[in-house]
Amino acid sequence: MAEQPVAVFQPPPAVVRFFDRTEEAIRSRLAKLTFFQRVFQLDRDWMTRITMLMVVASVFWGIVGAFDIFGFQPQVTAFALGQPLHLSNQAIYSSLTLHGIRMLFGFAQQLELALFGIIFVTAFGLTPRHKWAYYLSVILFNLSLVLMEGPFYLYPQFNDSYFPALGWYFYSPLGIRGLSAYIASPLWYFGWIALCVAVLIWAAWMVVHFLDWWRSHRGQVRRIPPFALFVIALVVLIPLSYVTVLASSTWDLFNYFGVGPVNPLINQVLFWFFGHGFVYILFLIPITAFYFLVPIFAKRPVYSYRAAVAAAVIFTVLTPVLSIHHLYLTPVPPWSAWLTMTLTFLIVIPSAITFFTVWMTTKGVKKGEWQWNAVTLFLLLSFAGTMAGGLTGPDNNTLSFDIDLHNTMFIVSHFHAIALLSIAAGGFAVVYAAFPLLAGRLWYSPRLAQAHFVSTAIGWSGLVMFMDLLGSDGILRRSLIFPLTPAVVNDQVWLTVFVIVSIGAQVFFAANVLLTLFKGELLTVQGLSLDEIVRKMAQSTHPKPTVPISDEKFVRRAPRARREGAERAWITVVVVLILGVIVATSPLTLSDSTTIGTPADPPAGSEYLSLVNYQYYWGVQESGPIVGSFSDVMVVHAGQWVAVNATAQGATGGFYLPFRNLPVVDIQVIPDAMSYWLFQAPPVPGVYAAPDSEYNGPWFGQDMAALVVLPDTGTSSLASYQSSGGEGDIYNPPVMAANGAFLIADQEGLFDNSVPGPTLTATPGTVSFQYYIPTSSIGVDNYLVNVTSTDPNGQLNYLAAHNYTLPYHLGIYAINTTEGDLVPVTTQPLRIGSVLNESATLAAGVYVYGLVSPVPYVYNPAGESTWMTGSQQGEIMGLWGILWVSP
Amino acid sequence: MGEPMSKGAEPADRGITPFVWFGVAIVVGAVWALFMGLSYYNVPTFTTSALPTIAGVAVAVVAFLAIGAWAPANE
Repeated sequence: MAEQPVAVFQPPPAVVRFFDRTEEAIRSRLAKLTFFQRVFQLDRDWMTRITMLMVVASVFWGIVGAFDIFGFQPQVTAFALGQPLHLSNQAIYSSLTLHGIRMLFGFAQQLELALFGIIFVTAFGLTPRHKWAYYLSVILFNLSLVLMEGPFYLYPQFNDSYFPALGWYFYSPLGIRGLSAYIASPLWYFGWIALCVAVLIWAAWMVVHFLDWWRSHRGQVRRIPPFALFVIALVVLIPLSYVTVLASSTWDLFNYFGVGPVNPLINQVLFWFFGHGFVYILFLIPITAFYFLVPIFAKRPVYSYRAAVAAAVIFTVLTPVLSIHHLYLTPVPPWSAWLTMTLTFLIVIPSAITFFTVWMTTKGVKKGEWQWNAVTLFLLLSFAGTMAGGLTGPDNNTLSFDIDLHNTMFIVSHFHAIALLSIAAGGFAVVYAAFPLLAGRLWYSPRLAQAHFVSTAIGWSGLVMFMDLLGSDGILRRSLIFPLTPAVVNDQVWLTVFVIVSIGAQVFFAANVLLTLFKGELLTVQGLSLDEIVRKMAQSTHPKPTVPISDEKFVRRAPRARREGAERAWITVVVVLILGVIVATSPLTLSDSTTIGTPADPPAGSEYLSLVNYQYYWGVQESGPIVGSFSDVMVVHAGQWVAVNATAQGATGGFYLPFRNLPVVDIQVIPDAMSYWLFQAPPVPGVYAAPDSEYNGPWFGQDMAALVVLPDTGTSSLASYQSSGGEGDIYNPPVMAANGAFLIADQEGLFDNSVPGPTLTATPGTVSFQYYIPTSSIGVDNYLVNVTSTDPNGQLNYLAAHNYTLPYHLGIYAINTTEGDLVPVTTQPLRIGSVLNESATLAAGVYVYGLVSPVPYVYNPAGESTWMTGSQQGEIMGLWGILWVSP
Repeated sequence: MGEPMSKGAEPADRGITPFVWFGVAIVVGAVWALFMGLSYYNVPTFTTSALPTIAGVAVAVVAFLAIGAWAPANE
């Protein structure tokens, strides 16, 4: 785009002149270096230059964000394969959460703003104004991502584990000083506020230019191009969404400094007005790509303009009001859950219209009139990906089904199907169609473009598939600690392979971009329409193009009434189906939501569990036939009704019993609120694992309780439990004979890679087994030794100084079900590096073995934890299990 | 004989049209999505909690394809 002369009747303000001069000085110097001149397009107009700056910055964050996943998935694979982990829990936690932040905002959001901005200006023939407002938006945007990274230390030793690490998801009050054990740096909140301001400035800039166009074309505009309707939708949705996270982040910041009321549930509702809206803001990338590009390549107008308008309007109206569908399992009023579910089903309608309209736009196009270049191939992938990801959305939205899916890898699969196969694929279509315009050169290598498409499609598809397989087993998302069944291990390894393929595929793209910038054929656009320019650019990604790029005269033969009749028939079917699904699922939805939000009225003889989810263990108070006060242990009788009331301290948690043969139990527990559930205990006595299902800090993987189901009367072996597969709860610990057992602790402070540790079985009499906590298992990621020195030998030095004995005891404890506590049978000091013999004469009954109380842990390398830096502490239980003694 | 023959399709115009390819994409994506939902078949509440939604999606996909096939071309 050439620099447009602008009439100037008075000089700009001094500060603007200063900025202009400074920019010119920097630009002219850097432009002498070919690399900078080409990459940042320093000889072009300011709009192109800033857009290239945004593109380069988004690629930078994309690379960093992609590599962040290497701080997580390879660690998961190492855990799966029994290999040493190389990162601390803090670093693993931070890597995963920052992966989300950098990919979603630094990469995807920034690229969306860059491309939408320049396409809007180009397609509408506008002269861009307010350069420094645009610059300010870009600078603030990227500054926000630096702030969200949080502080890091270069001296005395590099340490970047003080990530705020609140991540994409929101676990209020996680991160708030005085309210949570995991305290973020306030830079995190300032980062969010900067991000909001940056994006709002961009939206205001777009509004100003849209008004410019509107004023100059008033009375001449018959219809706005369909794709532009969705650009306008973006400009409307950005303030509606970002204002709510601005409010939520500001509220957090006030709370951080001890000011203002605290209400984690309302804060989360507020946040999710943004969280939901943001996903739809990104979803506008493929939608706009379809409406913009498919008619260009089909060389005919969109099938039904009025349908496109209807889709844009419904999409824009419904998107901002769907916050609560992310909080179905919290104690929100049932009517609000039901209403949100209904409205969320209704937002299927604009997507249904869009995909029908776009698909029908291609009907009548002959094979020889259509070219499968990189643009259209990525459009095709995005079309399929939106179906794969989008059509699982109704599953999530059905509250009664969401109980099975919530926080499992199903959600990660659904999200990545949308984020990668739909949004990113649509984004690549736009990039292949628009980048030559920015670079001023045609794509260098069609073969690299083809290789990029094929390898990306394979990588992303495999990645989504193995995430889903893990989800259907009940595996939690973001989990470093998981059951090591052959299927899970296999799926995790394959997931890692496809992560590597997905990232490796982008090397083809990066190579093509660089070759294009330096060796690509110059793009000439004289005499071409915008559509022809797009076709010409896309054609350079095809090795043997045969389809002419020239526009062709289109004569409309199918009357509008017939086309709109088809649209109406389709939408009628969709509406009828939606109503049917709402009617069919409403009773269970209302029932489940009511159960979560109101105290149960259980039958006589029920057990009452009062649970508090601490960071990172469950405090359990029991009343009813069994009385007790336990940590991570819940004791009930087989088939007994169990009434749960649960809350949390420090962060939002989740109580999850991932049964497959019985109804799943899954509720979110939030500080300052009470969640309820009523369920019938499994009819088969045994040990059922109940992981915390919310990602509320670096040690959430160890946060696992056991539901110990005793026989109705007398004693019972675990034979039925084993033959029934433990009701399909995949997190159940393995079962092994106690006598002769040799339990080895791992790097995460667990016996045999399992929490709870293996369930040991024995007959009454003398029971003997051994513990071993190898010295090699002690490190910064093992909570047992609370030395987080930057000295890599700090933990081992501590052990040597303390005779390899820690201030804790291992032992066997009887569960006293009438007086409410664990009664020690035998205990001994916890020693590292020595085989510890455990032996006792036991009567029939159920016992807890190991280290049965939480271990306090403070992460504070080199004394760098402060309220400004952020700090992390918690109480962790990992070295424990159940000992089941029966005749 | 002697009458001009009706002009057949050009070789480049024979074969699978983009409309069909996009239809295939819809089927592949939809089958995937249905598979993801149906993989919870072993959950005891599946029939009441999940099946209505999954069935609704399946019927919608069939209707989408049928109406798309029946609808007039974009000409």
